Amino acid sequence: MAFFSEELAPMLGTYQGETSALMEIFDNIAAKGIQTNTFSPEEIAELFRTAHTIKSSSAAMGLSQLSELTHHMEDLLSIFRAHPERIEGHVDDLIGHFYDYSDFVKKEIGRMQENDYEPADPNGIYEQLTQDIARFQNNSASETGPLSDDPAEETDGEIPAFSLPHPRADQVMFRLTFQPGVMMISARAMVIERQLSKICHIDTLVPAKLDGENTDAFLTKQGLYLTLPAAEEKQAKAFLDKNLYLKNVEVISADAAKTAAIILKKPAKPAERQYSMPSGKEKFISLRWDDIHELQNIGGIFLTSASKLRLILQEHEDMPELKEFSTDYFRMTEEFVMRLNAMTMMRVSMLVPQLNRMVWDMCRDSGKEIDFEVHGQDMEIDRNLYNNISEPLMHMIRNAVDHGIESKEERLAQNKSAKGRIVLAVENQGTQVVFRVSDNGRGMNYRKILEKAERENRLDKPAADYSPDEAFRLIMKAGFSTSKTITRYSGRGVGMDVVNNIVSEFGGTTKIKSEPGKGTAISMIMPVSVTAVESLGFRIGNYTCVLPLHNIDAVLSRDEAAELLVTDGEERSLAYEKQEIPILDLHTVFGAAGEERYFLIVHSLEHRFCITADDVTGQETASSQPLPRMLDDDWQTATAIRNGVIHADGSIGFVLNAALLSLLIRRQRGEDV
Amino acid sequence: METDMNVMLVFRLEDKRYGLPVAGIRKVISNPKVTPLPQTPPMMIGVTNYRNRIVPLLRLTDILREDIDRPVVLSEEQENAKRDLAGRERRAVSRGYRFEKNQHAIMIDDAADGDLFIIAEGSRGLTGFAVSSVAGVRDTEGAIVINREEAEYAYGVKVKKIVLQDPQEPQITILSY
Repeated sequence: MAFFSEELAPMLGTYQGETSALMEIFDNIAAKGIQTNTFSPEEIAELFRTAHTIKSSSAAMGLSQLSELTHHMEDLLSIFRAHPERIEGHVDDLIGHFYDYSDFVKKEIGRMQENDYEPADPNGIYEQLTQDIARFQNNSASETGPLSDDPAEETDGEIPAFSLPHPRADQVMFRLTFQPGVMMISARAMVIERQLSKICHIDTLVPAKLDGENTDAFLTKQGLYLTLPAAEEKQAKAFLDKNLYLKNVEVISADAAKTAAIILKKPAKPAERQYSMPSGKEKFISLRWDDIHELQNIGGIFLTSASKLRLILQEHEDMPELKEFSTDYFRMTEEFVMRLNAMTMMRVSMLVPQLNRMVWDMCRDSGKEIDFEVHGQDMEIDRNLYNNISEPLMHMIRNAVDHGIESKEERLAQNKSAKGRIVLAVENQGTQVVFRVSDNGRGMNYRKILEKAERENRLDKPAADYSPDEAFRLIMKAGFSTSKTITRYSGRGVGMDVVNNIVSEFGGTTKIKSEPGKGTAISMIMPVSVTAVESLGFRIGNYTCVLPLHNIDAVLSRDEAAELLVTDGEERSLAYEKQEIPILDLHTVFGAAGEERYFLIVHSLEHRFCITADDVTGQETASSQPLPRMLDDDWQTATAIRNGVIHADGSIGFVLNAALLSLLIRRQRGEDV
Repeated sequence: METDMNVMLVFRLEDKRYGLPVAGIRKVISNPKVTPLPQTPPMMIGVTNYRNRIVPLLRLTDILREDIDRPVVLSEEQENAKRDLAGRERRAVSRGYRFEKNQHAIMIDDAADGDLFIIAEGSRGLTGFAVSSVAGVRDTEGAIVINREEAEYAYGVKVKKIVLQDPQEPQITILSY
């Protein structure tokens, strides 16, 4: 049986969305705490309110463990709210609690839609909080007050306050009281409200917000008050009488309503009790990425037709009304497209909490002390880039913490500050965005890299001929790692080769600068839009194709290639740079007639090979588009075509994939793949 | 909304009449710039750039040709209706035309002659179907089902065929995909 009952299941999505948004508050304030090494009273108050909301909504969803855990968090926060001075010296403990709590809650939220969801046991975190509550509550002799010292905090025997409206003559007021012992009373009330509103019009509802503050207590003690048009009394009563959770459904006369209104206390501090969702969440809706993409396409069509229209209008200058109208039209079209595009941009600052968190975790485990700074947080980057950059960024920062920054002792011995420093700087350079991670750690010695590469036979020329830049480029090759230790974070798998692969997959490049003893700076230079990749265009028969520029080593003419050609039966190769590299004839693959006039030297991650083309059309920035879904993996493997591209003139070309090409050529040569 | 499934855009392919539910149809385009694809069967004409998207163009004749041909004797009244219809259908496609029925407007490119394709949204995304001519919009409610079958093309393109006999009109094969 599913954990959430049929009645609660429809509310799960809202609960998950709200709670995830609230968890961001925890994460963000924890991240700020890392920077400032303290928590302001406002931050503590905000966390307290946040915890309070989660406590109530989790209880309403029947998630008693989560509600209990959050209650503990709330208790701990209430101590610091009353005694801000006790935070001092314990910021790190608190950050740990916030993260542990947030991790737990987020994990739970993520699992909740699974069919066999059962709440997990937060034991460890729960006990941690219990201990800390005891510790911080009693660490001052003068402290004797109650744990929850908020005057309006719900306490037994006190009925929270709501004002009751007076029913008009054409209205009828119901008072619904619930059966004793009914669980999740506000959720039940919500269901009643929703179902009732389908059959009649509800004029007023008290409490007005069923997921609000103190509603559970009010509903238990007072019940739910509903006002509806008198004409609908009968059908409403019939419906309500059927509800099993209700003990009593009574119609209250206008006089009785007045008396009832007197019974209900006035709110003590109305302003403070108005807990609203943080950051005006109601103003936001979620959109499907596909839908936005479609709108962008339509926006592009608007722009094209507007510019055509502009040309036509130039010939009709004798029509002032048309001109006035068209000026508005052009302006609005441009604004529409601009705003739409802005919607898909993401702020760099949104990447920061998770990076902060990672550095903090790693410092805690390794005993290192590191200042982590992010410059350019206000930069807005393309959403695709945002999605794809976080992984390589995390790798780089992990490496900087693990291998770059030395231990405290080591730093002090070298007359460096005990605290290391890592800076992530994001800047826009025209059509490129640069992400640079620099540290003031131990740096790398390019000679040592060359020595290691030489030992492992990885050098193409004598070590002495390598420039420092070239040497650093070696560590971006697969399996090359100069560090002998494997740590929990960097491990063996996340060397620079992984970073470089991800970066080049999106058409970016990686640059490393390093000086022994001074530190390392690694830059990822990414195109502003990662769907646009710098490519080389060429023609095979009637097919126009592009291949990302970063896969191409050289383009040889037929004459140049003829001198290097090696023929072995059907198989042809080029003797190029001391290597024998196989030639793939794409004319055969595509069934296209043509002439081999150019030989392109291409590399995939593992191989170098050559493809032939009729013509090379030049360099272009290709914005790749998905191909129809029916062109499945089999077709893509057979043709090495991964994507389509729409050229500036509207014609369609094909984006070849180096890895698939390399697979094709190995298949042709009868290799087992 | 249920009635939408009965409203068809009727088109001719070679000498037969077919219908696609108008609900999924985006536009009828003529003479698109076709980019052929390597290593595909003849049914795959190629791809075209429709509103900045790469859309496949299919010619379904190969499988549709195996259509069952059940001789149907038409009454004199039906024969007349059929002749009238043919005349109307010709007029409809002689120029750019806009079909409207049940709030569905299907735009047809100006100069709707030459290679015609119906761009429709199906379970596999936008697809263009080659047609010989577009006849018009018909409500097929009340038509008699003669046959039902599902045909599968290369790359998993599935087409459901329902052969209908409309009392007022000749046979029509309804496709969904």
